Amino acid sequence: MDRLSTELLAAIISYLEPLDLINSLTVSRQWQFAVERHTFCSPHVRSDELDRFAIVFSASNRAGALAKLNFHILLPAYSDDRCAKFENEKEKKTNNKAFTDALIGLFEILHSWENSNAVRTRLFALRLGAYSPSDPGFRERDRPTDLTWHRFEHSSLSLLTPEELPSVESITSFPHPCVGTRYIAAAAVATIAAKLPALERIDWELEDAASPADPPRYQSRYDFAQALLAIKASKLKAFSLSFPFEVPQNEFFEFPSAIPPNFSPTDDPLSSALYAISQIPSLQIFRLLGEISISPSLFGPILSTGETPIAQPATYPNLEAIALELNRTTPSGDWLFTGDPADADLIHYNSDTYDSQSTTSVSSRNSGDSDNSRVHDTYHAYHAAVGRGETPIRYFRSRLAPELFDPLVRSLAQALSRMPKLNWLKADLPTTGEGAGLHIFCLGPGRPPWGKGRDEEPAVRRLEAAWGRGLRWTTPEDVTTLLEEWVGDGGICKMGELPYD
Amino acid sequence: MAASTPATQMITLTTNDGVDMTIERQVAERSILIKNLLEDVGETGEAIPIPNVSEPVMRKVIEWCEQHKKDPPASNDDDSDSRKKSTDIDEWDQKFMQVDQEMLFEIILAANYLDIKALLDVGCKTVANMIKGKSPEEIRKTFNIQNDFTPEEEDQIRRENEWAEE
Repeated sequence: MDRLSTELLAAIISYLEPLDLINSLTVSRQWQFAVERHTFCSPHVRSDELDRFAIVFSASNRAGALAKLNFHILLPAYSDDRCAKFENEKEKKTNNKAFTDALIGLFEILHSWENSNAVRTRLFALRLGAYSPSDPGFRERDRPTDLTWHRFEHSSLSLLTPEELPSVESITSFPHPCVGTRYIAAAAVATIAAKLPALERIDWELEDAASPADPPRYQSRYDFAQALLAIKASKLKAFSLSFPFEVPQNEFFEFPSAIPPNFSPTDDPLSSALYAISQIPSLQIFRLLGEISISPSLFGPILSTGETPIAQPATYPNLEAIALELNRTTPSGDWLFTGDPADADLIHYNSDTYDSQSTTSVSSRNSGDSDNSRVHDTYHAYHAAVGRGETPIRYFRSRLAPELFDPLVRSLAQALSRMPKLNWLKADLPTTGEGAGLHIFCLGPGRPPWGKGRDEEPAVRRLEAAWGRGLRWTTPEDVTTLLEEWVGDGGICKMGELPYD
Repeated sequence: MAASTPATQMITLTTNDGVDMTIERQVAERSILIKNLLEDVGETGEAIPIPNVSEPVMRKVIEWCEQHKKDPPASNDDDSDSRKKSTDIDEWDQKFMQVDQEMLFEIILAANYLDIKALLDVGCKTVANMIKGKSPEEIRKTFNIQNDFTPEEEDQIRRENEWAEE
């Protein structure tokens, strides 16, 4: 037995169940080391256990076993009365403080290991989450007056003092969200990423939320954009962001713009920041999902007609794959679709859909602070849905608005020539209700549109673009030319309307 | 006697105790190490030295490779991190692994050196099955291992691991 290396012993131990692992642990020091490759590989650490984490993991070379660190940030508990109240400013501040302190605490430990000869870490993934023990799911029992998760659905956790967060070079992957009940602000997530210079993979599901008045939508997006610009991950290979903007079902509804008031309507800070990310030379995969609302500057600075570019636009040297799930709206608060308002059918105007036993309005939240009186706040699902444009359902926008959509597809087509390694691109734009939207595929030689197989696909570049008849769209001539240039001689270019709406 | 199939290609291995063994190339290629060596060296017809494996162990390994020569090649999926592994072993392999402990560990070492993943897995599973349900003391007895912990240390390590695993 003693001839077996610790690696072989670890391979044997990988077949054991938890109880047998614990029994194997104390057989000898070699066995302890081998077992701890498994038991310390993916620990769950709560922020109130950081001291213990630091001590336990800096002993016996356990930090070297870390492959995935799950960090659960504990927010302050609140009283039964407060469960029936929307979170107030003071509570939000306390939560942000706890969130910031916990993260700084963790990052200081990880940073100190990197400067220590005694503790060796390997590269690992960080997964974050935050919750309060009084949140639904953690609380022992709910009361009828509890607002449950509506209590904090408009709160997001922010970093109060990001400059105090040290950088950590051993984290290569930062998927988010993973655990916990609370929403961490997009800007905070990106700020954390900016402290992780060795990141290779980013995979985030965040929200482009329009409903809370404070901060306004444009502010959250602007802060997120600024934080993204601070990311200096020179080894980043894959960037995947889901950033859905909930499109109003009532197409008469006016929704907030994502452009700050002093910016030009075509100058979307988030699109420009995502362009900067896409220019990271090591990047191979770039995915924007969840029907993200984006402007043409996603593919580089937009030149007005006649203006000559100052410098040759940068290239995407290693980019191989792009996925885009586009939103039906633009960041400036417009619709990419138009139509005749007279065509609008009132599909749904039924308040019974929303569980509305209470008729009290939701105003106590909108007025800012939820006071400390004993009267409980109420959440009114129907009013909230009307406020989001979720009901009534009114559709009439069936045609693409070329003046808004064409610049987007044009900037994409222009960028293709600067992506020498591109062999898979998929862009989707959905339309109203069940109608057929628009789909574009750019495929390298042999690449199928779906899956990984390479059989039976022509060994040439192919472009496929199809859209529903109802969109009444014609491809601008210059865009057609650019796309044909991309497929090149011998390539296949198929573009056209689908035979249905 | 029509030779419908090409003649089976044979190769020779020399074990670390100087014994030459001639076997089918297809059988030998269950070992990724030997397969790569043959590809690099080409068909010289010379014996390939296997410096880390003795003749009795090599015989056992070849016996296993003969039995499994038609198996599909191991997939490259790296699932080494997944902890939900079954310790089921098929009947032939179970019988094959009924050897003394010394030989069992020799087979594991040889499979690791020769890079025969499926055989290594069977060996590791066999040892894992010997550990199952035993106390630390029983495990030490089974494999003749010296305890180098104090009782206090054992206690502390157990508590720290239970915390990390919760």
